[in-house]
Amino acid sequence: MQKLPATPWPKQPGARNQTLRRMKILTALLLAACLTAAAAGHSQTITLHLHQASLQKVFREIRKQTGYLFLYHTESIGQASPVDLDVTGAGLREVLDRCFRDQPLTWELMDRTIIVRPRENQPATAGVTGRDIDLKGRVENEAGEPLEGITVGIRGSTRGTSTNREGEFHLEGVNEQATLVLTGTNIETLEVKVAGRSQLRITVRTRISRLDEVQVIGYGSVKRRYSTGSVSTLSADKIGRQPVTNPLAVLQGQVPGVYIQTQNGMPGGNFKVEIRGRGSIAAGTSPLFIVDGVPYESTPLNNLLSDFTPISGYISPLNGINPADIESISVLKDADATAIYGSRGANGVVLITTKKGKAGASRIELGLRQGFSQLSSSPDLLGLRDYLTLRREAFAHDGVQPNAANAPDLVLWDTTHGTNWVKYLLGNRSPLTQASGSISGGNAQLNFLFSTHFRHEGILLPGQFYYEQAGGLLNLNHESANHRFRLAVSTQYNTDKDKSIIPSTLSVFTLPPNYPLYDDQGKLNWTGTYDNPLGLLRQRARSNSGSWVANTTLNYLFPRKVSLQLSAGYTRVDLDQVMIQPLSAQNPLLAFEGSSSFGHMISQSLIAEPQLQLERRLGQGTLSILAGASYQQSRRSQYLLHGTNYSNEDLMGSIAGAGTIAYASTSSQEYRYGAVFARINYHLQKKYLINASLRRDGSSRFGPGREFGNFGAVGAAWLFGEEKGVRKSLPWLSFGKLKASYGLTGNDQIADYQYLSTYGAGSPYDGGSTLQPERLANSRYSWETTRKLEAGMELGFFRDRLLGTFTWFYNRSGNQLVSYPVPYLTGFSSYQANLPALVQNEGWELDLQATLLRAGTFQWTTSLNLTIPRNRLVRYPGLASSPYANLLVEGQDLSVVKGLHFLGIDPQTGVAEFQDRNGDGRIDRIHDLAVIGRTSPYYYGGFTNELRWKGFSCNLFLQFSKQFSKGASILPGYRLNQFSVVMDRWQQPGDQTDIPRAMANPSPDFTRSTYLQLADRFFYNTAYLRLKNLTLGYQLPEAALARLKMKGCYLGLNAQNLLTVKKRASLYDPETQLGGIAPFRTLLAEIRVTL
Amino acid sequence: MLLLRKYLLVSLLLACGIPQLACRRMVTAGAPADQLTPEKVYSTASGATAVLGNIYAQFEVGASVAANLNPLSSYADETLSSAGDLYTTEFNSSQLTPANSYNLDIWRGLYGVVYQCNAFLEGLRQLPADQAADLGQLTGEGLFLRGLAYYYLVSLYGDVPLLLSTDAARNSQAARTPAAEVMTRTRQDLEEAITLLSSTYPGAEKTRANKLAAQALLARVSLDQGDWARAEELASQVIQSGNYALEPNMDQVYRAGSPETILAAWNPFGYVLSGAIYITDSGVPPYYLTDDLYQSFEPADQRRSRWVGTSTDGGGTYYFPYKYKNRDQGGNPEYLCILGLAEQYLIRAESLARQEQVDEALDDLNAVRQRAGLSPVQGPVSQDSCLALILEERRHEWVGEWAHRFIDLKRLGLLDSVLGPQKPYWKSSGRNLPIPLDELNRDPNLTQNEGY
Repeated sequence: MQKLPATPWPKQPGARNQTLRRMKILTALLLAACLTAAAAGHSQTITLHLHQASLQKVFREIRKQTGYLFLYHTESIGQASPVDLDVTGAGLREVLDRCFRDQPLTWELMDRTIIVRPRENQPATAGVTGRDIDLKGRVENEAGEPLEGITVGIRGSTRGTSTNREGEFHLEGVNEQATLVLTGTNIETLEVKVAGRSQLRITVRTRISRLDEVQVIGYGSVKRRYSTGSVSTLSADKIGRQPVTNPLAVLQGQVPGVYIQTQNGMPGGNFKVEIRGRGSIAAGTSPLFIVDGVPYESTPLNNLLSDFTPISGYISPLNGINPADIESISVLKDADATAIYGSRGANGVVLITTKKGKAGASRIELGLRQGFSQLSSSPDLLGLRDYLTLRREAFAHDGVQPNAANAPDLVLWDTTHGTNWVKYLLGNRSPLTQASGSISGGNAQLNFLFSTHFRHEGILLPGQFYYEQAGGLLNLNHESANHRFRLAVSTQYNTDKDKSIIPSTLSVFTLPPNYPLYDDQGKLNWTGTYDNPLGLLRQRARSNSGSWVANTTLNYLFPRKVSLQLSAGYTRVDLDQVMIQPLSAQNPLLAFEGSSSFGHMISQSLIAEPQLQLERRLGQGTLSILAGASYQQSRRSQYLLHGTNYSNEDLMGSIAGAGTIAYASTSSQEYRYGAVFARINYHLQKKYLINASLRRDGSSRFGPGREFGNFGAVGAAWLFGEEKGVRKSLPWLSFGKLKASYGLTGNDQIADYQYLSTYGAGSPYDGGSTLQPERLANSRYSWETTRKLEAGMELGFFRDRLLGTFTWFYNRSGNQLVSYPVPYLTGFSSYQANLPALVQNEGWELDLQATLLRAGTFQWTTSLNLTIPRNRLVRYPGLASSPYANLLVEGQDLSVVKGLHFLGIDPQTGVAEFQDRNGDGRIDRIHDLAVIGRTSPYYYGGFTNELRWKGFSCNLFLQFSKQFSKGASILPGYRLNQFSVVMDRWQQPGDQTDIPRAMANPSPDFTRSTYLQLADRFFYNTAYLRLKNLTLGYQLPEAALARLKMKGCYLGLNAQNLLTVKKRASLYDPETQLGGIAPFRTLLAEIRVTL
Repeated sequence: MLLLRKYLLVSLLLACGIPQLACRRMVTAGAPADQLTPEKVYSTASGATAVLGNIYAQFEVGASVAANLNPLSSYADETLSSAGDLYTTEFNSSQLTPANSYNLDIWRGLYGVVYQCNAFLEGLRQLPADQAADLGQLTGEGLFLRGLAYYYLVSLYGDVPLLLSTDAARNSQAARTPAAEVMTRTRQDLEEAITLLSSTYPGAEKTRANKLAAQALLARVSLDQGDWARAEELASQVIQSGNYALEPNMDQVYRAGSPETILAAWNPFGYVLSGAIYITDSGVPPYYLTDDLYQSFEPADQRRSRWVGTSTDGGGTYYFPYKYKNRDQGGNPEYLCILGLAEQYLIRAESLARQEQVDEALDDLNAVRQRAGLSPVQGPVSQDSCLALILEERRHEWVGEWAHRFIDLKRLGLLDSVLGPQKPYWKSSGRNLPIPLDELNRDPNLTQNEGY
């Protein structure tokens, strides 16, 4: 009701703003009157007996009887002539027509408001013939979603209206030959001929400008145009496109400043996330994840059950959030955006908002994706012939006779048939099915969305191994008729099931190619410490996790824009794991008994946050204030049972079948957290923005007296593009903003209870339980703090067809919280402490979005983001006498790698030569090391191209990154398979090469070869460019949809990790490097139907 | 503006008031349910005893200190490892690199015992008077276990930091203490332990140290330090105590509760980890006896027929240490033997021989030989031959166990002459194992041994 149509108003030079404001006040007052009247009850008919009455008086009477409001300029109504009215039980429309018949005024009914305005441009439509009709319509975007607030005007007239939440508008008395003009901040202006129709469905094209997208930020939302902080938002269309199991996978390459590295490419595998670099030497670097307002688990679920690592590695808790249910992901980076989260904002904040229902007819969406996955890149290992050649060469060089103990591969095994173990284990294609369904709808008062999904995929291993996800989401939103009270309820439950094996896969990759699976008696063959791949496949691992997030928000809007909100949330994540290692499946060298391990973990978190918000005009600007408090309580508990002495291997899935419970352990942690916060925001003339936030935090992770910390930030922005001078002189510049922020945030990501000295359960002795010291306690540590400074510029060109954001950030993290490594002499490997070290993260971020081509229905949009980070340990007093003396270097990156300087291979002996830096005549692994590089990224980013033509779309997403990594060992002739780079080995005196001679038996020369892994020459550039996603889609045209009685139908082909451009190195994959399996390549066909 | 001020006031009240309300209590987590504070642990004797139990457990199931020493049988001339991984093969060629993770395990396990003993001895001081009836026994056991750990640390690494408290700040910067000083302190501790410990075992089994165990260990340390008289005296006290006897059935010597056992480490499974590692059904065993060792047994020696197992693969026959018979649960329970009577006979024999009492020495030597089914050595023999015979007997008594062979060769200065001809890259500096790389990286005052 308070919305005023923007264009149809008469132009009153100079006074428009002022008038508008007055109108608003008037509306507010009338609104109050209306509400009073509403209580009395209204009739739909009017009875009036007036003679020569002023219009004001008529309006008053009508309002009294019907409750309808009038909106008008006092000036314009002053020129109206008095009216005579004598009606009994007449309709409103009839009465109004009579009132305005001979007036220089016209009227229009909008909702329950009658807008009165001068009849100025009337003559323009005078020549048009044709009758007037009532026109109803609905405005939608390309995706068929209703658009609210679109102005629908009539060409040549000042009349018009705007669309409601359902995208609907209603115009009365429109000439059937008129032309409608649709305008809005987010859409391309569109003209539509009425052509006699009384019902219109209009699809408009969303404008490329993303400046008016609403971004979710901490405790609120803001239009990108008016944001003072650094917030990157990823919307549903980008999130849902990639067929991945984890929302983190979607962020990779999409958001500047966010570095995401796959730790293990198996479905359900974990990701490393760093926002604007690693600020902490040893505390957690994971950002704070918030799902629909509720803080979400960020530590891998099986972290504390370290025995329980399946082949996919650590289990990311984010697997519990279905990417397809996400409406948007906002990544908050700078102080201005993150300081409202105080102590937990130092590593950035990721806000995940789930999809909500929309008012309107119920929509049913069904989707199905079907395809397969395969290994995207295979390590480049030696084949049997090359492997054996090197082995024989090695024994010849060593002068050692191969025998059954030192060379079973040469003496005992078949030297004619080899197996590629990577292909053997992961060479399969495995099917993938993903199905989803949702239903949404509702009205202005209540809307809902229910969605459910299921995913099943094989994990390439031969046998019955798979990964499954299933879950559902229900969101309900209620808004009272007077728009004052709102209630939002959101709940989602997702499960995943990982049925796989234990993680020795990488060791199997380097098995000699002729390793026999069976011995002479047909039993599994075991030799030395080799892992038999068949044994591995008989060791079963099952992980089931469930994740429940529920949130309720109550909001009441008091008069004068004061709103009170209470939100309360609960999350529960549980993990149930079983690992079965039958004796027959294990190397008898390493295991004496079969064993089963059973683990269970529950993590629960409760949060309550009251908030008060108010908005005021202050001077020429708007002041908004937010104040709130937050209280959180989390518990995590787990147990682990280890059963042995099973009478039958078939019973191993149950702890009850165990003859002996070899050990049991439990642990539990509690975390409490309380905070109060406030934010003050001032907008002046929509050009000058200032934002300040403050938070005081208390965390139970710190010892008595050190629980509390204060954090805060200030941000400011100047929309210089709005300045008159700029507008005039630079007409092609459609948007320009300069912004800067500075503030203080903290980090409390450490283990609980580190200040407390305790004893826990030890190994049983003498038939009883025992106690062992748990940790070296230190009660003197406190918050790690990060000071963040940022400056940025956002520019829009050619009506925002090209948008660019350039940001420079400069973060300094001090009072470093570290798990301080100590020598084992102390009985432990580390304790918790603060270090005086100061770490700096500086960098540049670039984000470009452009519509390159637009011709007819063809459109080509592209976006590019690039981050160039630089990490530096600024200072660390006492570094030389600290345990980090050999690990860190002042002035260098935290990920600094020290190594030996490789001088080459001695052409006479074929032995690796290194520089003896300290000149003591020998090479050692401490004193001859120097910095050879770093493993943190040099740059990273992503590049997206989207082409649309009629219903066809093509989307191409490339992701790139440059970093370095140590490679696998280079030991030509050794009894484990090697990367093919070793074929360039030295063979005879005079050979010039980088690879030493083949060696198989320990000797000082062999030890030299083991040092190659430390050498600068084999510190690889692992830069890569990956075609992360390619999607081809086709949206059925309206005509076909009408025939099929559908609202939408999309057909698509989708390829993930299709191609990777990389350099040759002794690595499994440039991204997972030596740590895990490369991300799978997935090819899918997709159909999505909207009913 | 008035209203505005009101709201500001409310916000300010919220901002300032809540931290006072949401005070410390709101952000203080309860103590973890599965853990105890030291105050509670050391408020009762049973709490202290539970801490002590875990220290004993470190030798077998906890940190598997004993099993960590198995690779030293390859480092000496007893076995060869077939595992094939890099760090195991380093032991085969007696060429350890500081990064060797098995070496780190040895170091870490032993210093773990030292730390826990120090924490235990410190904690005992808090024991209330009404719980202090066994304070002497408990203190004695703490000193005994710390002495045992230091004996191995010095024997393997030479100079090592002598840590007698749990002060992490000081310990993490500790420098190495001369080996002689560590051993002097160890002998003092053991002497004290002897005075504190009771003659009877505190438990039902011989799984916690008594006075005789401390005497047995000190006898070994005294021999190692060349204090022949004290070694002889202590070994005699143990042998003559009448508590122990040589077990004629060789299959039963290492069973739980064997009459030879002076001290054993309890385990819940009935099999001993460090022994079970060796046992092989078929194929190349993980550690197989060197030909030289196998051939050195006299044919009648029951230690070869009973304590050495056989496995075949690819036409070859391999022998492995088989003193402990169990590889899984069930069967007659076995505990890890830490101190046994046969060693005391051989200690006394050696100290007597050193003191020129060769005939008496032969008596003790023959006691062990006869138990193994061998004929007694008839005198007269020279002192040198007697010592050589004793060394040979020791070699056959503890194949692959507790690094006995390496430590013997080292204390007798025989490493170069014995290992030199067998190991092509042997260097004298190999007498000390390298200080682990990780440890050097973390303690800036720690220095590396010569040769690494």
